[in-house]
Amino acid sequence: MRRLIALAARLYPGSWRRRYADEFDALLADADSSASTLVDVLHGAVRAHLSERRRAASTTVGGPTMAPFNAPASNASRFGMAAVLLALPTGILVALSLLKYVLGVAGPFDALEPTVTPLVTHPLGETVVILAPYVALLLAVAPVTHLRLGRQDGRLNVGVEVSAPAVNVLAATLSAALIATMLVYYLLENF
Amino acid sequence: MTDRHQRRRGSDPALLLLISLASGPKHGHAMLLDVEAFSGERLGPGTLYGALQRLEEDGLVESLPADDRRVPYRLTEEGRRYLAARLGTLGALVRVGAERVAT
Repeated sequence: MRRLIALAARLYPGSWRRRYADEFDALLADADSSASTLVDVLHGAVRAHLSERRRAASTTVGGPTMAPFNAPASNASRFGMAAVLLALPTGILVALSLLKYVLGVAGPFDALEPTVTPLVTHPLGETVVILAPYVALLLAVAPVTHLRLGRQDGRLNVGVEVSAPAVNVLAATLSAALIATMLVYYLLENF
Repeated sequence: MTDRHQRRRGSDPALLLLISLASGPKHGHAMLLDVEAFSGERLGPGTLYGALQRLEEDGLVESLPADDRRVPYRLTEEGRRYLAARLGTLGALVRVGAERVAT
């Protein structure tokens, strides 16, 4: 968990890291290495990118451009990598469940079940497993999506531009597939 | 108070940090411990530094020379004036709210 938190801290914008990284890393060494710390650091990284973007937009003259993120390619890749790491545990669980309950290959699922069951039946663990693909999808897509709003002849123009490194495409595909699989499973179970 | 109500009471992290620094300079971990001790609020490292960055940009806190890698922060004079004014406003709100709840 501590390594994941350290990785999450590297997702902050370059300018933020140049100012705060040393002291922030020192704080992380003292802080709890829990899932809530990981979520808090990820949330902080997203907010730091948003506020940096707002600052940049406020110094731009006359442009009706609005982008929730405008991360450089290397930062976008970091978000993509974080998204893959975040979605991976849920992906493994879903893949093993499909192997067992759809294809009838029970071995891998049964081997992991004693370890995994206490984690996924705990309310926090269950929440993390279910929410991880949604957060991962946001992490993969938001930094590479540029939303442009403008007005022309009294009409509202909305433009969406996506420029994504391969790792973000992989993370978005994995997350979307997991969300779809879990939705289908939920619908089959409940209706 | 129920757990649901406890979860809803979230406070303004920046205000909590200003109150913490009002008793003297502190580095990040000391601020987290102090805030938890006087408010029961457990701030995460990301929340702490998000608030610290805004306060520093607004000139309400300033950093001191680092002790190893830990950097202490202190209130500026402007930060102290802002905190006093903010607490005054909140105090008035608390008085009015308490009176209305009691009636």
